Amino acid sequence: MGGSGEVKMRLALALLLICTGALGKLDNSGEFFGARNTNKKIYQGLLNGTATFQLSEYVGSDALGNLLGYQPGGLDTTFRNGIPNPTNMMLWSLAFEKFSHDIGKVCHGNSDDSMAKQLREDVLADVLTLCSWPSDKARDEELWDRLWLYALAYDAPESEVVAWKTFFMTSYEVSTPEQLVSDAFFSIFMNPHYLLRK
Amino acid sequence: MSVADDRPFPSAWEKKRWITKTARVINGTRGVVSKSQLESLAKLKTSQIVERFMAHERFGDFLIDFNLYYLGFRPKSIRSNDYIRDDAFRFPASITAAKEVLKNGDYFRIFDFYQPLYLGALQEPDTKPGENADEVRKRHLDAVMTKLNLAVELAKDLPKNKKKFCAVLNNEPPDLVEEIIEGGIGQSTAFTITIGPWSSYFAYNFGYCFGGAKDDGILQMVTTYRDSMLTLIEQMLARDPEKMTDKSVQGIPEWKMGGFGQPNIRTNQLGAFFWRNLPNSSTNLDRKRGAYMLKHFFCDDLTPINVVIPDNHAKGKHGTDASCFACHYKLDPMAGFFRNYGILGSDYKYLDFITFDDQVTVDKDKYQAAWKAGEGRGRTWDVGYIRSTTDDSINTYAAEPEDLFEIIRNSPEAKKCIVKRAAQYTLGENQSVDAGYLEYLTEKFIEESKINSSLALKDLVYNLVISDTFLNPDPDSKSCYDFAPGQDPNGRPPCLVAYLFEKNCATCHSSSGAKGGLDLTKWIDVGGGVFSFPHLDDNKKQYSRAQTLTVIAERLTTSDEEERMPSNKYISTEDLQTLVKWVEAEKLK
Repeated sequence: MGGSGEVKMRLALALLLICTGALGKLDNSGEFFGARNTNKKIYQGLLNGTATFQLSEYVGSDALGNLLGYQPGGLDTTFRNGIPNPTNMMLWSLAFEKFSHDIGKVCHGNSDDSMAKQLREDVLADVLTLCSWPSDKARDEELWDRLWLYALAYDAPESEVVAWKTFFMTSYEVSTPEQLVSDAFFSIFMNPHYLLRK
Repeated sequence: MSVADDRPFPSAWEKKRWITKTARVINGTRGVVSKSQLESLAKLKTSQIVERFMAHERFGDFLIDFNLYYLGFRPKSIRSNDYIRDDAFRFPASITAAKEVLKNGDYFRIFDFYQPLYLGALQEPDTKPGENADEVRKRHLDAVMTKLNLAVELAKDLPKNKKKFCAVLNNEPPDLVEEIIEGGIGQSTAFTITIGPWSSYFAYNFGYCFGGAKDDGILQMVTTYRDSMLTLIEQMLARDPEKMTDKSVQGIPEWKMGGFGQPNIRTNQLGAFFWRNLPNSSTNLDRKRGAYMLKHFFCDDLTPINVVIPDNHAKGKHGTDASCFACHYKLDPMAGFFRNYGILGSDYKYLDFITFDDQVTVDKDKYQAAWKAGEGRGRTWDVGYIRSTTDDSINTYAAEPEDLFEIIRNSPEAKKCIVKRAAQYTLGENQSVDAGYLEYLTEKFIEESKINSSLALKDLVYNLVISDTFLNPDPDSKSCYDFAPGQDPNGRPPCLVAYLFEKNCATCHSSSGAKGGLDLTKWIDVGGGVFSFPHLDDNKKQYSRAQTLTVIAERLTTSDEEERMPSNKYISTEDLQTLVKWVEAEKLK
C-alpha cells in the first residue's frame, strides 16, 4: 500500500474506533489502566513465561512510561496521568504501533524473531494462520474471535468484536499479511475498552 | 448474598464480560484466563460465581488491597509472582481484617487499636561471590545485636557511661535500619520494628541524652528492646529460606513480640508508614494525623464550610478565627488523640517532655494545655470526635488513641465511609453514585454486620459487582445507574444530591410544603433547557437558577444559627460537604 493508501487505512481505523462509540466519552469516564497494568495484561493474554517484553521501552524510557498513567504508591492514592489527553494518546499510539508492527513481523517466519519467541504458543500459531491471509483458514471467524480474546478477553461489549471483524473482513484494504496482522492488533490495542478502566 | 441470587444478562457475552471484570476486581487478576473455566463459570448463578471467587486465595489479596485503600494507602501491587510483597505489610490492621474475612470472623477488627505483629517478605540479601545468603543475613543481624548489647552494658552504669551511651545512640536508628535492610529484611519490616511505638526506646534515650530527662527506666527500656529484637531475629533466622515468603493471606504468621508486647510499645493500628508520612511538628502539632483520621475513617475531607460559632468561643489565635474554626473545631480535638506521640511516633506518655519530628523538644504539660478541658466540663481533655459546634450531646469525647478506635468502631459515619470507599474502589473514584443507593447499602451493611461483619462486607462487595453501574460497559461518570429499592429517579434533582436534599430538607421543602417557595425534591426545566429546583417568589414567579443556588449555598453555610439549614437538624459533615460542593459547582455552570 502506498502513502495515500496507508493514510486511508489509518483513517478507516480511526473511524472504526470512533464508530464503536466509546471514544465519545473519553472526557468523562475512564482512566488509562496505566503502563504497568497494561504491560501485565499483555503478558497475561499474549506472552509466554520467558518473555522479557516491556511496553515502556517502546516509548523510550520508564519516565515516559509514567505519562501513560501510573500509581505513585504510598499515602498518595491518586492514579496519575490517567486522564486521556493528546500527548498520552500519541504515546499510546506510538507504543502500540511499534508493538503491533513487531507482532506483524512474525509473518516473516524467522524462528529467531524476538516477538515470535515471546508469544504464547497458541497465540503464535493463530498469528501464523492469520499470516496466510487471504486463505480460508485466515478468514475463519473463530480464528478472529480467538485473537480478539487473547488480547482483550471479554473486557469490551460484543458489538466491539463484531465491528472489528466486520471491518477487517469487508472494508479493509489488505496490503501484506504482515500489515494485516499489525493493523488487526493495533486496532484492538487502541480500543478504549483495552486502554481504559471504566 | 444467597446462593439463589442471580441477575440476568442481555447476552452470554455480557455474562462472560461480567465474570472477567469481577474476577479482575476481587481476585486481583486480569480475569478468568482459561476458556474452560470461563465456560463452566458462565453456567452458574452470579452469587455462585462470586462465592467461588471469594473462596479463591487471591480474594485475600483483594481484601488487603481494599483495606489499605480504605486506610489511605495504595501499594503498587500486593503480589509479586507467588508471594505477597513487602508493601502489603504497611498497615497491620489491613492484614488482620483480611484474615478475619477469610474465616468469616470479625471484619471490624480493622478498628482494633492494638494489632498483631506481621512482618513482610524476607528478601535475598546482596551477596559477594562465594557468600551464602544465610550467612550474610546472620552477619548483619548479629551486628544489630552487638550494638544493642553494647547499649545495655553502657546503660548499666549511666552516670559513668553517659557520653559513650549517647554517642552510640546518636547514630543508632539509621544504623539499625540499614543493618536490618542489608540483612535482607524488607524495608517495611525494618521500619515496623524501629518506628512508631518501637521507637519509644529512642524517645526515652533521646530525652535523657539531649532533653535533660532523668535516666529513670532507661536500662529497663534498652534491655526490653534488645531482648525483643533478639526474639524477632531468632524468628527471622529460623524461617526456612524456601518458605521465607508468604504465599497466601491466610498463611501470614503472627510474630512473637517478646517485650514489645508491653502496652507502651505494643504494635498498633498506626503502622510505621503512618508515623513517617504524617510527622508532627512544634508548629503544626498533630494536625496532619488528625486530618488523616477524619479523612480515612470518617470520609471527612475537611472542606472548609462555615459553622455556627458557639457563644463561648475563644478568639485571637489561629484555629479560633471564624474562617479557620470551620475546620479546626473538629481537627484539633481529633489531633489531641496523638498528643503523647512525638518524633517518629514515639510514645512520650510517661515522660515530662516531648520531642517533635522537627526535633524541637518542649515541656509536655505546656504543650498539652491546648487540649485541657475547662473547669466544669466533666472531662479532662477536649479531645474527641466533634460533630456539632452547638449540640455537644452528639459529640464524643475521649482521651487516648484506644478510645478513638472504639469511637470509630461504634460510629455510623465510619461504616458509611467503608461503604463509600468500597463503591469507589469497585466502581471507580470518579463515578457518581446515588446518595440514596449508598445509604441503602450502608443500612444493609450495618444491619448485617450486627450478625457477622465479614459476611456483611462480602455481601456489600457482591451488591456492588452486580450493580448496573459495574455492568455498564461505558458509564457516564456524572450519571447514576443504581437506586435504592422503590426510588424513582425521574424528575429528581441530579443523583449526587437528590437523596441528600430529600433526607435533610424535604420535611419543609417538598411539593406538599415548599417553605420559602422552594421545593428541593424536584428538578425542572425553568426555561430554555435550564434546570433548577421549583422556587417561586411571592408572586408565584420562578426565581432564576442562579438566585436559587445562591440562596441554597448561603443557607447551608451561614454561621447564623437562625438562618442555617437544615433548621434544628443534624446533618453529617460528609452530607453537608457533598451538598455544598455540588451547589458551588452548579453555580459555576
